[in-house]
Order: sequence, then C-alpha cells, then structure tokens
Amino acid sequence: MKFLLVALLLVISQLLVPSPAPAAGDARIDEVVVTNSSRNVLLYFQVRDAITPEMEEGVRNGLPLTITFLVELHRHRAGWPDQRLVNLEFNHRLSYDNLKNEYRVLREELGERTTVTESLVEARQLLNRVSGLAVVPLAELTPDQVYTLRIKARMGERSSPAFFNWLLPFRRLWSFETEWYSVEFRY
Amino acid sequence: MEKISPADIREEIIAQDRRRRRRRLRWIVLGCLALFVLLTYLETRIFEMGELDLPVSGNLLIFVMININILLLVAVIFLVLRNLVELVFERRRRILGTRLRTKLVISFVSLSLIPTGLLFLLSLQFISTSIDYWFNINVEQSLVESLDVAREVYQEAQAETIREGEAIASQLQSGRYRFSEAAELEPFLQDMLLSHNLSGIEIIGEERSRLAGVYLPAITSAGVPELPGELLRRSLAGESGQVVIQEVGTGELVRSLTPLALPGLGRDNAVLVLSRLIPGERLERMEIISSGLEGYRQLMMFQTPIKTSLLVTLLIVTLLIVFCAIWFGFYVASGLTGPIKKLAEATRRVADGELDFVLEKTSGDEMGTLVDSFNRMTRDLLSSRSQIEQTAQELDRRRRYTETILQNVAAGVISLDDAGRVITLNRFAEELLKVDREEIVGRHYRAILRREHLKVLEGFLHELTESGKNSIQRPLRLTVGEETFSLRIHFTRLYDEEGRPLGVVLVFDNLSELEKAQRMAAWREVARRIAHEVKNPLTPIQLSAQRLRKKYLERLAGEGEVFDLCTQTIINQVEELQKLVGEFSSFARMPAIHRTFSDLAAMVDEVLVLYREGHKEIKFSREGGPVPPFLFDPKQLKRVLINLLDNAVAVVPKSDGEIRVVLGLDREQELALLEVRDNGPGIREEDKLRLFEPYFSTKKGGTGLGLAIAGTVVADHGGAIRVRDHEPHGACFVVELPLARDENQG
Repeated sequence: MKFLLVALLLVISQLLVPSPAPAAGDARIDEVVVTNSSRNVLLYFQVRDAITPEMEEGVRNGLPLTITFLVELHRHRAGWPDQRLVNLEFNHRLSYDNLKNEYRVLREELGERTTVTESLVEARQLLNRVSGLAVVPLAELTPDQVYTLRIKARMGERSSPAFFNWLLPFRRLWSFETEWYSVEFRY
Repeated sequence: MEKISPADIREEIIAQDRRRRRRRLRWIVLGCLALFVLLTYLETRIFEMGELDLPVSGNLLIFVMININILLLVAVIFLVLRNLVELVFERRRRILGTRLRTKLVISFVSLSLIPTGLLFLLSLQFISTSIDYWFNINVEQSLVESLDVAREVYQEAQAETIREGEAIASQLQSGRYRFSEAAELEPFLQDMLLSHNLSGIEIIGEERSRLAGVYLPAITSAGVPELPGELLRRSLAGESGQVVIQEVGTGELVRSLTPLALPGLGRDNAVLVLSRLIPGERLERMEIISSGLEGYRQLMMFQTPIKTSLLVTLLIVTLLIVFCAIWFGFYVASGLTGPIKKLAEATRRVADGELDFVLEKTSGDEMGTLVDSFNRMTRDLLSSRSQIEQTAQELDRRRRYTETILQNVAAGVISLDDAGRVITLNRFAEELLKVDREEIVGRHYRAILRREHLKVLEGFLHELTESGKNSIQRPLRLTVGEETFSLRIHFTRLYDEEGRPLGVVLVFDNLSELEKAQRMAAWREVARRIAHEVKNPLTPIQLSAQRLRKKYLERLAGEGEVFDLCTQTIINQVEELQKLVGEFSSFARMPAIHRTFSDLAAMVDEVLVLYREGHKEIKFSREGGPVPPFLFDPKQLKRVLINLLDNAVAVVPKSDGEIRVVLGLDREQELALLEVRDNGPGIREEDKLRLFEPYFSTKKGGTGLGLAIAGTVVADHGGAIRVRDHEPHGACFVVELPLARDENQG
C-alpha cells in the first residue's frame, strides 16, 4: 500500500511539474546602444543565446518563432517613484516557407513589412536584433534629467500551435524570458 | 426503565460521527468528480476556440485547469486510499461487516481492474505501434518527394521565365524587328504574351519607367505589383537571371528580369520583365503539400513527448476508472453492510437484554422487511418480558406476604424437605430455640440436633410413618439452655398437587406461659377455698382450746400437765394453721401492683439492712448497678426480694454463707436485672420447671407459695423470673423487669 502511494505521488509530481522546455536558459539583452537622431531617441540592441537548434528545426518544420520585446522609458524623480514615459511592446516573427525555401521575418516596429531571406543566419539576426527603434521624440524629454531605459525580450506560449496543447498537455514548448536590461542616461 | 451506560453513549456518538464523516466524504468525492468533468469540458471548449485574447494567456489557463483537474483526481485517489486503509484497520479490529465490505470491494476492483488493465495494456501497445507506424520513414519520404515536386513548380516557372525572357530579349535585339517608337512594341509584346503563355510582359527603361507592356486583364485588374528596386537596379546594371515571386490577387507572379538593349529606340539599358502566373488553386495545393510535411515533421519532432503524454493521459483515465470502481464498491458495500451491521448490533443489544429500542428502517427492500420483522420481534419480546416481570413481582409480593405472616405467627414453624434438610425456620422458632436461622437453613436435621432432641424427632417421624397418618399432634417438654418449655407439636407430612412427598412441617405452640397461668389460677382457687374452709373452724377450735385450758387447767391439778401440753399444742398448731391460711389467703388475693418511679438499688439496700442484722453469720452484698429509677411497685418487689432472700438464707451453709444481690441493665432489651446468687447446694434440674408453682417447696416447713408469689408479682410487672445454676455451686434467681412501662400490663 505504501509503495503504491509513493509511486502514485511520484507520477503525480511528474505531471504537476511542467517538463523543462528546451529553451535557452541564458538568453540576454546585449549590445545596447542608446543614441539620438535629430528628432528621436534611438535604440539599438540584440538578444543573444535565445535561439536553440531545436527552435531552428521547429522553424524549418513550420513552427514560427515569435519574440516579444518590451521597452520602457522612465524619468527619475527625486523622492517620488519614477515616471514611466514610454511603454513599447512589439514582436519579431520568424517563419519559413518550405515551398520557396526562404525565411520571412516580420518586425512590427517597422510596420507590417516582411523581410525575406534565404539565409538562416540573416533571418536569425533580423529576429534577434532591433535597430534604430525610435523610443521617444527628443522634444518630450526634459534637459538635465536622468532617464532609465529598460529592455526585455521573451518568447511566449503563442509560439506553439494550439493543437500541441492537446497532444502535449503536460509539456510547455520552448520559451524564454530575459532579465530586464537597464540603461541610464542623462539628457 | 432502560439504563444507558456512558460507554454506550460514547459508542453511539462515535458511530454518528463516523456516519457523518462518510456522508461528507461521499459528497466531496461526488463534487470532485463533477468539478473534474466540468473543468475537462471547459478545457475542451478553450481548445476548440483556439487562442483567446484573455487576461492570462490561454495556455496558462489551460495549464492551471489541467493541474486543478489533477489535484481533484489526487483528492479522489487520496479519499479512496484513505477508505481502503480504514477498511484494513477495521478488518484487523474485526469490526462487524468489514469482511463483507472487503469481499465486495475486492470483487469490484477485480471486475474493473482486469478489463481496465487489459484495455490499458492493449491501448499502450496500440499507441506505441501506431505512433511508430505513423512516423514511418516511408511516409516522410513521400511527403518530401511531394514537397520537392511542389518546389519544382516554382523552380521550373522561374527557370522557364528566365529562359523565355532571354529568348525574347535576343529576338528584340537581333535586328529582325525594328522599332522606331515604343508604341510599336506593344503588338510584338502581345504576340509574345500569347505565344509563350505568359501573364504579362513589359519593358522598363533605365529611368525605371515603363516603355511598353501588356498584362492579362485579370492581372491588370488585380494590380500589377511593383518590382523590388534592388532587383531592378541590378538588372539595369546588366545582371541577368534575376527573378522574383510576387503575390497578386489571383495567385503569385513569377517575374524574371532580363537586361535588354534597344538601340532603335535609343535605349541601351532596359529591362525585359516577364510575368508568369501561378494560379491560386495550384498554390493552395502546393501549400497543402507543404503544410502536410510541416505538420508531419512537427509531430515527429515531438514523437516521444506525445507518446509520453498520451500514456500519462491513458494512465490517468485508467486510474480514474479503477478508483471510481473502488469507490463504487465502497458505496455498494456500505449500502449492504450498513443495515446488516445495524441488525447485528441490535441483536447484540437484544442479547444483552435491551429491548426498548426501534431499528431505523432505511430502505423498502428485503432489508427493510427484515428490519420490520426485527422491530416486531423486539416489541413482542418486550411485551412478554413486561408480563413476566409483572407476574414475577406479584409472585414475589405474595411470597413476601406469606413469609411475613410465617415470620410473625405466634407459633414455631420448621419445615424439612423430603431429604431431611431444613427449609424454613420462622422467627418464633428461631427465638424459642435460640438458634441462628442462617446456620440452620439448608442443613440436615441430623447435623444440627443433639442426641436427645434427635431421638425425639426421629420418634415423631417413626410414629408418623407407623400410624399412616398425615399429621400427628403431641405435647413435648423441651429444655433449651436454662429454660424449659411446654410445647404442643403438630407434625404434618407435606405432599404436592400430584401426591409426591415434599417433606414435613413442624408447627409448635409454646404452652409454658399458658400452663403456668392455668396452674396459677387453679392454685389460687385451691388456696382461696382452703383458706375459706379451714379458716372458719380454726377460730372456734382455738377459742375452745383456750376456754378448756382456762376452765380445766386449774382443776386438773395433778393431771394438768398433760392437759396443759395438749391444749397448748392445739393452740399453737391452730396458730400455725392460721398463719398458713393467712399465706394462702394473701396468695389468693394478690393485690394489684402500683407502679411509681423508684430506685431499685435503694429498695435492695433497705431490705439487706434487715437481713444483715438478722443473719450476722451470712455475708450479704450488693453488686453492680447503677440502675436508673424506673416504674415499679417497690412494696411488691420488696416482697419478691424477701422471698428470694428467705430461700437463699435457708440453703446457704451456716459457717460461710454468702448471698450476693447483683443489679444490672440489659440495654438492648431495655431490662433491669436483679439477681440473687447464693452458694448453697443449688436447684435440681427436675425441680426447676415447677419451682414457681404454688405449693412446691424443697424447704422443710415451707408453704411453697413464696416463689409462686414472686413469680406472680414479676409477671404482673411484665417481667420474668427464672433460675439457673451459680458457679461453682449454688443457685441464681434472675428477675428481669422492663424499664419502659408497657401499657398493656397492669
């Protein structure tokens, strides 16, 4: 009886704890550059160690990858909580067309334009990199103030098709989430 | 009145609590199962709806629901296991009904486990082989081939468009056609469009403007897409083999860009753009092929997790079925064993004598009929027991009544059974014979009686047997201890209703007092008559003798001595006779006693003073006491004491005579005791009974009335006088006087 109980508890615990997703555990934000054009604050960065070979295989097998980027801009206020000026959320979506043998990358911050390439390396770069994102117009910033720019990237559950939830009710597909990356600057 | 012990109450409380817990448990299990079904349904709905824009993501919601479902399942499993453990413990404690419950649960588990297990194993095998079969390498190869075919459509379209573009471009550049104006190109292009089965053909100049071009109306109406600038630039730069696929409303256009020089038109750098439409229907078919392979590869990618998940789901469903079966087994078992257990407990209560309860009927089936019959049986038993108790009480009451009468009847009753054992001994007999009933009852008469008494009893029994009568009656004089009784004994043989011998019963009356009273009355009458008859002639005799003496004593001078002696003797004897007659007379006319509160010791001392003076050679003493003053007639008692002392003085030795008067109290019987002890020769046993009768005297010259008078006086006081031997020798007269006045006594 005791053996049966222990065995049952073991099985149940296996069911209750989701299987570790084959995701990159070390995904991080890197190469962050904050600069400005004549009108806007521009942001450049990329996500590193986010895409695994299994994900790439999944992409080639028709499972698109979607990375969601979160960008926030806070203004420091002495004695008060920081004021959030900007809260941006946009996706990069990588898919593969088997017929045409080409990768398509949709970058929402650039509008609904899809970039097509036959190179996986290029597609991966496009997916991971955000270039020249206009965070906020310079006109909205107050001179001599300290600002913090926070960046985060994550791969959500929507990357996996719904029918997999039927077949794999006890397993999450790949996902990752980076730590918040903060950059402080004075304007 | 039914008595309920604290242990019974405690057991009842525990049983109620257990029933309540089981009921609650049943509801919890049912609730869990219902929730399980509901959540499963909701999960299905969410899957069907696809991805929802919910506050939390759909997957998270589903994940939570699945986990809740599993938790519910775990709860059900836990409760079932708990029930199983409880059953095991109850079985060890041998609680009633557990065997049946165990059998039922095992039956249900076997019935469900065997088919479910078989099904599980078959499904397991089926899933494994099916999945392996689905992911057969041949299937993938077929799909890959299909995809290659689909790809070739594009590739061929691209290659053909490029080739045709180059062919048309060479035609345009060959000099066979001379175009002076761009407008002249249109018919040529139209011919080319039709002859090459193209969807569109156009020439773009180096300033990236269209020089000439024709498109099928369907393409024109859908809108010709703009060429990518980069490609155009490369082509204008002379790079050949450029191709691009662009979507239009009806499908996709495969467009090749071929560098071209039209010197006739003054255009050295131009681009020939050929467009070939791949229709939407074909694209869809190709898309289906592509999707099929993608789906297949996705499944293959997750082959192992899918298999595991399916197995886990199968295992959960199997476990659910098994535990539901166990639970159902418990439910059915409790439905059966519950009433049986109740009946068994009720039977135990009936066996313990408890009948005043009603078993609750819980169903209308055979079990209900059984409960009804049981309740009727206990009701009948209760009624019968009540009747028996009433009868027993009545019998007991009668027995006690009879016993009370027997105990209080003024006659001794002793019954012996057929074997000779003493069965009954009433209080009268107990007191008269001075025996303890507890020691006597149940013992054989031979073991109790002394030899002389045994002889008497066996004589009676023998006589009864010999006479053939059922009953004989005999007088008996019996000495018990220091007392002698005159008894009349009725000896009766007892038989039951069927004539079987039951034993004998002895009923005896104590006639001692009656006889004594009768004798006393007779003697008083005798004394009165003697006194009356003798007293009358005595005075004339005395007077005559005195007259003779007076008249003739002097005349008979010579012979006067004889005369004097004779007449003096007559006178003396007559005086003696007068004294005797006086005594007789006073005995006959005993005065009524007059009680006053008096001091017995003072009265004794007063009498002893006279005797000490009169009989200096005898030692008189008073001992004991003190006795509180009580009601008695001091004159009469003084007479009693004088009579007793006279008797004592007459018998004690002359030299060392000793007479002791001892006073005492018997607080238990509330008696004052007065004893006169002497050291004379004592009283013979045969004289003791008649000692207090009139005219019985062992004294020379005694009238025999002293002790009779003393006995009468004491009896008039409600007391008693008796005699016993004094150790080492002598007699002891004991006078017992009641301290409290009995109103019935004179």
